Amino acid sequence: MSTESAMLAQQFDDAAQQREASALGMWTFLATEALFFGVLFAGYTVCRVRFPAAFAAGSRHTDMLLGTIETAVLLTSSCAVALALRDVQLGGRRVAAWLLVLTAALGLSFLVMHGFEYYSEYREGLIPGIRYTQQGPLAGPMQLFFCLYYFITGFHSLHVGIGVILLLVMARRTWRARFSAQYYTPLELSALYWHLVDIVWIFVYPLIYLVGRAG
Amino acid sequence: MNAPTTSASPPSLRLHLIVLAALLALLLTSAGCALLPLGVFNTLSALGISVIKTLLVMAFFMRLRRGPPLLRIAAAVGFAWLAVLIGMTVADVLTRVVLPSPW
Amino acid sequence: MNSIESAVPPPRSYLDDGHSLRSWLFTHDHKRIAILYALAITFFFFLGGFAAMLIRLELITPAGDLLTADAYNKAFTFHGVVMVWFFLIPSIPATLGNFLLPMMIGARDMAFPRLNLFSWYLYMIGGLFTLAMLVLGGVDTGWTFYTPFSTMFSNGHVMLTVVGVFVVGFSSILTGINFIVTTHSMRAPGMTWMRLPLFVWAMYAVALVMVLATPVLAMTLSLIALERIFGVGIFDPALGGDPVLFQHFFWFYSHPAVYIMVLPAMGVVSELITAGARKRIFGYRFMVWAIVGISVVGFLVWGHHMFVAGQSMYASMVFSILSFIIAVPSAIKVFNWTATLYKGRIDFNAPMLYALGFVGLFMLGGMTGIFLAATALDVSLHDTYFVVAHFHYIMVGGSVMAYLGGIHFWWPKVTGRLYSQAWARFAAILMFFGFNLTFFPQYLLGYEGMPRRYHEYLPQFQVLNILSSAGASILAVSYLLPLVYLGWSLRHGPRAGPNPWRAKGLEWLTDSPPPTHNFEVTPVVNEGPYAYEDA
Repeated sequence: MSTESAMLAQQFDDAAQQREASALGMWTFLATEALFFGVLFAGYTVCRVRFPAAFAAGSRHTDMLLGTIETAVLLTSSCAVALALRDVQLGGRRVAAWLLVLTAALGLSFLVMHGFEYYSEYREGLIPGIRYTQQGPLAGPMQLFFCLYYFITGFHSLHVGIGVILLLVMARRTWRARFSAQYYTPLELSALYWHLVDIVWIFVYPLIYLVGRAG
Repeated sequence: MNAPTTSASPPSLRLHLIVLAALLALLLTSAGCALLPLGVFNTLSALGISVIKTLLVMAFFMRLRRGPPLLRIAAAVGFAWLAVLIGMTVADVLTRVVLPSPW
Repeated sequence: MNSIESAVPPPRSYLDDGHSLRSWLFTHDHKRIAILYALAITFFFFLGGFAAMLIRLELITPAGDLLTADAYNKAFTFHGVVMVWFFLIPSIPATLGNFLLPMMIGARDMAFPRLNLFSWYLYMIGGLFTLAMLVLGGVDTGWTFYTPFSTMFSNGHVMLTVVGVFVVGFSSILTGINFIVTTHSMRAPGMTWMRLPLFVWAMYAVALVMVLATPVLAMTLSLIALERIFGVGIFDPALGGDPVLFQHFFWFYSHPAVYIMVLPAMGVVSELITAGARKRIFGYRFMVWAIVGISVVGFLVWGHHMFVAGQSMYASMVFSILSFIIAVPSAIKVFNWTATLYKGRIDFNAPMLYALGFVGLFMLGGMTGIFLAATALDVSLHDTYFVVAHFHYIMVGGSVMAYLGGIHFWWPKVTGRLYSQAWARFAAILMFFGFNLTFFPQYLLGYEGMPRRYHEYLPQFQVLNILSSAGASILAVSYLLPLVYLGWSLRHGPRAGPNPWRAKGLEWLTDSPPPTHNFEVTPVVNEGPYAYEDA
């Protein structure tokens, strides 16, 4: 018998109902994630409206090239996980597993790059509360920018880390043929989660790295 | 409830790669726009491009384009509520009358 | 499926499906999880009630003689934190909602039973943090954690409290996701949206509010924690940060949280009134849209907590108008309950008495809410006992009355036993009088200008404060009474049939207590809710 009927929980009538329920549950969870990060973006908006110059100055301290590369890495990883899901839906196994490993590796490289960013900022004295050596009239409100920067990227990196673990688990399960063209719900939900992580970063990128670059 | 158990066939490899190329092109566009002195349009273009990128990811990678409408609603509601939070909070900050401190 | 089951004897009830501790702590059955929740929230209710008794004892005399100012601050903070997050928010949804939602829509269980159990464990972990906070010495910020006091000055256990509330917030998010998905995808054949009982609608709406508001609280509390750890943050005025921003975020959650408390109460009361009057609910569609309207507009009114906090006056005007607007769907509900009672054959049983108490108290609480929504009036009433009385009328007079009404109504279904109607009626009436005696004087105190959150007050306020404290002791007795007679009924009460109230609704079709999978055969629905033969 296929994996489909073995994976049907007793409270559901059929696989379609189960799949529908899981997808809706995941999307509802993604909505909560959007609001969870949204508070930080709301705080960002309010502070930036009040201190536009300090936010531009703070943003110029960030590493735009590295930020752009990180964005490209995450966008590519999103495509890779989508292709992995496609492959499983078409009955594939090996390619899908390797695509998932690739996604996780891209996520990991994102974290490593971010680690380098944090380290150079530490050396520059840009971390409020730990090592902040900036002087001048904008130094106070610029701390708001850097607080938000660390809160946003910190929570985002936490999500990336969880996502990497999740993707590796999914890669293992895919390799062991736990999914099939009929049953792939956990993989689908993990992919959705990874796309959300990507979407959050799509907004982080211009708000953190691109402010005041032209001036 | 009586939807067919197998979902529609997944989008093609070609479509995935086209979307990825579009996303990367948009990324470079937004980086390039940020370097030009456009005034307020710097922010607007950056956010506009982010919105387009998000819509691309949601429509194609997350498969909302072909998915059940309910999921599109669920996705939209989260963003709508976020807009309420940001909108009304910023509205307060923007319309405050600054009272100079008496000392 | 039917042919297999018809050969075997009727299935065991969910209570007999294993008696070990393990069978309870690892259960996936929504009914057992509901009972786990009920036990936990009852514990926290009496713990929070104990703090309330300390407050009322202190306020018998104008001098601060029983508690120090610090101890008093900790008492009211503990009372607020426990009652809001560990009792009121989970009260009806996590107990009655968990138990009834799948049964009312004809499902075998929630969509995600494991997630449901996990949410109970999260609740317990959050509760342990809160208890640890209490044991280690408490916290003095008030349940609202206003910055910069909570981030920079308070010496209490703010971190423990914040972590506890953060964790319990995720428990309510998971419950919310479960309710939404269950309502969408688990309905029995023929159970269309416009045939859902109003209790299910209320659970659906409350789940939406939980899911959309709670993440904001979670992140806001994280920001407080980070600001305490690192000493810098976006609410820090020294850096140019904005403490009022915290209030925006906090009330974006905490005002809708009031609707998390009262929407389920409205759902319960709608069931109680139709069953007690033996009539269809008056204006079913209006009731549904009122529920949806309250849950949506409830998100747009949070600024009315900040009229004197430095919010811009234009924002205050908008929030004020929106707060008036939300009175409209609330009023629709009160009118429709009244119209449902009109010419009904009313059975004044205990659940009905609780429901009638709810309608009256909710109305008083709601009307005084309109006072407070008026910006000019709020300037003088803000942070007085008028506000305290107002929200206790909604939360205690409203939600707790409805919760107890619901417990009395569905007790035979949950336990399979009937309780003493005479004692239950007595407790309901006592509660109504005790409640009014406690909180009506507080309206007068607030109107005369007694501020909240002080352990001392001017001598001219003493008479009303003594009345209030006397009422609180009556209220305490009336809360303890159900423990006795409901507990007694568990062993000695007569057995209830499947439908002791002759009420409509799918949950009454199955046995009392129900079998583990609720229905032997999935019911097919072919009529709307509350199909009573109208008198």
